[in-house]
Parts: sequence; structure tokens; C-alpha cells
Amino acid sequence: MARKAATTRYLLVSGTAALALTAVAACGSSSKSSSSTTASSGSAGTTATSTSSSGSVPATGKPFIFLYDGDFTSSISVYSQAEVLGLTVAADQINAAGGIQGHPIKIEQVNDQSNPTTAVNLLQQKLSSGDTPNAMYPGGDSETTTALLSTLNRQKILAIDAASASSLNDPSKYPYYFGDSELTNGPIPAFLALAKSKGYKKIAVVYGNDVTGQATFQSYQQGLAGSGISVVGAAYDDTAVDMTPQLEQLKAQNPDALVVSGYGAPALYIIKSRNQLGWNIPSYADEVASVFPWTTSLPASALTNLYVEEAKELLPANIGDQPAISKLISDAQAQPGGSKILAETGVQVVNVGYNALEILNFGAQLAHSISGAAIASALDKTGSPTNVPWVGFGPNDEYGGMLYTSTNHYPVEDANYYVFVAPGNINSQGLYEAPGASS
Amino acid sequence: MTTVWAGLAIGALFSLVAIGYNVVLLASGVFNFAYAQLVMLGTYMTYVGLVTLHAPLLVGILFAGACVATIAVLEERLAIRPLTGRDDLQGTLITSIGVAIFLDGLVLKIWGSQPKTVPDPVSTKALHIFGGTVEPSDLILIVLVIVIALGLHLWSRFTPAGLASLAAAEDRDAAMARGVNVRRLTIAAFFVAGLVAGLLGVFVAARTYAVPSLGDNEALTGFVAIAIGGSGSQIGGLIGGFTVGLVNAFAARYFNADWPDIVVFGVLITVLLVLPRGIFGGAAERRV
Repeated sequence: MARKAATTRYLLVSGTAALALTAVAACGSSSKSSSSTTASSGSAGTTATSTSSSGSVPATGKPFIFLYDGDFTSSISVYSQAEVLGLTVAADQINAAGGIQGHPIKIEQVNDQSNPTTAVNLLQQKLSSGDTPNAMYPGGDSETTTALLSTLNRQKILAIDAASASSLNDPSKYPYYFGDSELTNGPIPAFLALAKSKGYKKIAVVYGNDVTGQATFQSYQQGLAGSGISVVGAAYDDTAVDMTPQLEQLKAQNPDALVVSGYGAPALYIIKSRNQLGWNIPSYADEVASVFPWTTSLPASALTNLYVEEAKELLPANIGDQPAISKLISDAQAQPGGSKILAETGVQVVNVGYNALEILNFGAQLAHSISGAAIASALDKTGSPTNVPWVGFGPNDEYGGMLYTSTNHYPVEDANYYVFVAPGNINSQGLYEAPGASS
Repeated sequence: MTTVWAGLAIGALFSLVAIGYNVVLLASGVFNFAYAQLVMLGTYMTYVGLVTLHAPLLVGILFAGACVATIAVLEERLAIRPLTGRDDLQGTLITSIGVAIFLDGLVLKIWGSQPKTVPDPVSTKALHIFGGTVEPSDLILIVLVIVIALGLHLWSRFTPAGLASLAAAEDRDAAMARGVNVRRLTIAAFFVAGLVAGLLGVFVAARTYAVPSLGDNEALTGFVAIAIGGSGSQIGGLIGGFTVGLVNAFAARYFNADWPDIVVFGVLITVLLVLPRGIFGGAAERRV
């Protein structure tokens, strides 16, 4: 009887403990749980903004509401702030010129804490309150964007963000959704050109076991297929604190180069494990890992043979012939907290927010309307526009651009868009200064 | 062999969490779910000591130990004692979860979400041992965790205070009736657990960096480690932690990222089916 009671008590305690621990794990990932619609800490891009700041004729009429959904809590929160900074600059510029078809742009923001369920709930709250946005930035990561698009599609609300999974580039399924940053396969042409020039025959990819990571791996597989370069991969769990097993698995396959996909602690663990193995393989950070502040996190000796991809047009040496980018930088620096955000994230991230509004405004001008369906239809016929308001593809979009069609809703980048350079620092203007070494 | 060293290194982290759980469990019967967060705090306090305050290594380590021990004692006083006084041990599970969430939020608020690099206490040049590579700080962490677990095991079995703590965990009222100061033992247990987390922070951070997600990532696996090893057994926690680490590493090495969790929990279920009290869990006495 005593043994049964003891066993029962033990099972009860263990079971309760397991449930509680599950709650800790769940709460931990979204604990940070709030569904606030208020702005995050400090800096530019707090709640509504966007009245004209330049003294020209202000836009009048019912506001064009642009809802920004991002993560203002986790390790990527500063990037959300940077995108809002870009949106704010664009909104101010557009409003100063009379708004979007006469309507002043009003930016609102919500914090989804990288939780797609929270993002959907926040959007539903907005819609239920009658506060329907005209357009939305649906999270910026592939999981959240995918979760939101069904609702946005039903409501015919325009959506534009920097999510990178190829599955999102499906105009037949998501006619009102546009990407303003490259897909996971965006850098592939540049990487393929590099790999061929270096004579690489096999590429290894270490990536996170999530939607973005898996999409990244598939992009490399598909992008390099038929080129004579084979691709092998190993995934890691986001909770892993050591990547040695994954890298050992890849090392055993004798690749010529390693692609590093990840951000924050996982990115650090990958390089740490690479160094522990004494594996001095040329390593290329993908678009996600490239924005990680490597030089402030690891000593130079740990970053040997690591290269990051940078947009050629956003390097200091090339900025002179692009007055639009210079104006973006100066306007961003004029915003509260703008200089700090620029120096921390780089102008490339601010660009994402800036281009989002400029693209929608461009579409509205073509359509002479702010209706989501009209703008989407107009953007489908963008073709190869000239005198474009977005930035980052060269003075005349030499390296690609927002070349949307009825079958493609993502920017196109050619093989010259990216260069691969050693990890450097972002200067006060948000431009990337590499220490000179390039792959 | 490198995979073995990797498994032992991450297993040492899991064992450390299991040791912390067991220290408090053995002394007070309380399951402190916030212990993994104390380990996380250990890395941040080390960062504060060595980077923010530019203290010498030993001073930084002692600083971290003192800080985390203090926070652990505060946790006992504010979140645990009010419920143990009412004999509500199940309630302490909930309050310790609350402490865990509070510490997660506090760390995020103070230090933000980017990982913090803590200076390595020893050389970062990997060692080649038995045909595999291991970082010196990982090797030290493995050895220290083993020494601490063995030391606590021997203390709990062969010292009067250790035996008193076992008695208090088994039957609090009976222990009090025999003159055991249960409250003092509980406070001491939290202090020791916090001290260990703080003192080892520099070696944990050398492996994981100071990251806010460390607590959440280690909490559940630490529980799995003591479930496999047997709750209340320091040796069991040690073996359980290393088992989980090795299984995790080999599954990741030879399969893919989907398998480590599946295999680890498969091992847990198998062990509990065969040995419900874990590998080193003691048999319950039966009155006849």
C-alpha cells in the first residue's frame, strides 16, 4: 500500500512536472507574449506617424493605413525597428509630395514576437475592430507571412514584405502579396558565379530546421542543379547549443565550401564548431547570416575564411552615383533614433521598409487608385520600369529590380547584385565597410 | 570521437541543470523549475563581471557565484517558502515556473536579445584527445560537473547535514520532529544550487555564450535527464544528462535535425517503462 502510494505520488509529481516544463518551453518561446499594439522601445517608428515633415502641401483625405507586423522583442527586434524607420522615411517623402493618391500614409505597428499565431490574432483584432488596413507588412519571416496571407487574401488587403520562402512567390495563390527583398534563391546567381570561378564541385549547407532554413537549402539545391555542383546539407534545431555533429556530418562528405544559414546564437555556434574542428573551409554566410554583427561577436581570428554577401550598390564606394540612397540615409538619420538604428542594422534593412511603401505608391500611381486589387493589377504589369522610386539595384536598376509580372511578385537580382566580402562593420551611414578581403 | 566529446559537452550542461534540480529536491522536496534560468543568469553575471566591470577572471567568477546564489535565495524566500509553509509542494512548481518566466523577461529587458560573448577562461585552441577534438573549456566543464555531482552525492550520503537533507525531502514533518532545521536546509540548498550555477557560468558561457533562450532550452532537457537518471540521485542526474547529450549528438551526427528530440524522448519513455523511478531512483519502502 505504501509503495503504491509512493509510486502514485511520484507519477503525480513527475507528470505535473512534465506538464509544467512544457508550459515553460511554450511560454519561453512566446513568453515574451504580448499582443500589444503599442510601439516597442524607444526609437523611430513608434505607432502612427507620417504627417509631412518637409513643409510642402500636406496630403489630405482619409489616411492610407499601412500596418507593420514585426517582432519587437527577440534578437531580430532591431531589424523590425529598421524596417519601420524605412517606412517612416518613405511615408514622410510620399506625404510631402501629396500622399498616396492624395491620401496621407499612416503607419501602425503591432508586435507578434515572431509568433505566427499571435500575428494572426492581432490581425483579426484589427479587422474585428473595423480598423482595416489598406496594406500590411505581414511579419517579414516566411512562417508568419504564410500564416497571415490567407486572411489578407480574403480581405483583398495588399501585403508586401521581405519574407524569402519561394513558396510565397505564387501570384495565382497570393495575388495581393509582393516581396520587396530577394527570395532565398535570390543570391544564388551570384553564388553560382562565385562557385564556378573558384572551381567548387560540392557545396555544403548548414541551416536551421525551420521554414526559412529549409527553403534556403532547397534554393541552393535547385539553383545549383545542372551546374555540375552538388549540394549537401545538415539541419540544426533552433535550440541546439552545439553544431559539431552537423558539421562533422558535412565534413565527412568533403565539400569545397560551406554555406552558413542562421542568425544570432546558432550562427555563432556554427562558426565556433567549425573552428573547433579545425575545418578551415571557405564559408559563406547566406542573406540571413550576413546581417549578423560578426565582428562585434567574435575575434578576427575566429572569422578566417568567412565571407558575407553584400549588395554591391550599398557599399560605400558605389554610393556616390545614387542620390536616392544618400537622401534615404540622411532622412533616416534625421528621425529620432535613426542614426543608432542605421549604424546597427545597415541601410540595407532600412531599405526594405522604404522600398515597400515606394513600391505601393508606384503601383497606386499606375492604377490611379488605392484599392488593393487595382494596385496589385498595376504592379503585375510593371515590366521593366524606368525612373523608379525604389533604391538598391543601381542607378538605373542595372542589377535587377522590382520586375513584377503576373507570374512573379519578387524582385529580380542578377549575378552582379552581390559581392562576397569578409565580415566588416556598418559605418555611421549604415553602409558596410569590409576590411578589404573579398572572396 | 569528436561526436562523443560534443555529446559530453552538451551533456554536461544537461547534467548541471539536473544537479541543480536534485540539490533542491533532495533538501526540500521542491522541484525548482527556474534552475535552468539560474544557469542562464550565471552566464550573464559572468559577462557583467568580466566584460562590464572588467574584473579579473577569479573575481568575475566569484562575483557571478555570489550574485546567482543571492538570487536563488531570494527565489526561495519569495516564491517557495510561502507555499512550503502551507505544505503546498505542488504549488511550488507553479511559482518556480513564474520565476523562470520572470527571469527570462528580466534578462531580455536588461541585456537585449543578441548573444553576449564572454571571454574564454582558457585557451580556445581545440585539444586532440583520443582521436577527437574538444575545446579546453568544454573539458573543464565536463570534469567540474562530474566532480560536483560526485561531491554532492557523497555529501548527501556520508555527512550529517546531507543525511538530514535526505530525511527532510522524504518526510518534512518527521525530520522537523527529529530536530532537523528544514528551513535552513532549504535555504542552503537554494544557495548551493545558485552558487554552482554562478561559478560555472564562465564555462557554460564559453560553450553557449550568454543568450536569453538558454534557460528555456535547457529546462526541459534537464528534467528529462533526471527522469532518466532518477530524481533525487546526483549520480542519476549526471548519468542522465550525459546520456541525453550523447544521444542528441549521435542522432544529429548520423541522422538529421528531426531525430535528436525523437530519440531522446524515446529513451526517456523506454527507461520509465522499464524503471519508473529512473535508472538510479531508489526503491520505495513498503510497510508490512
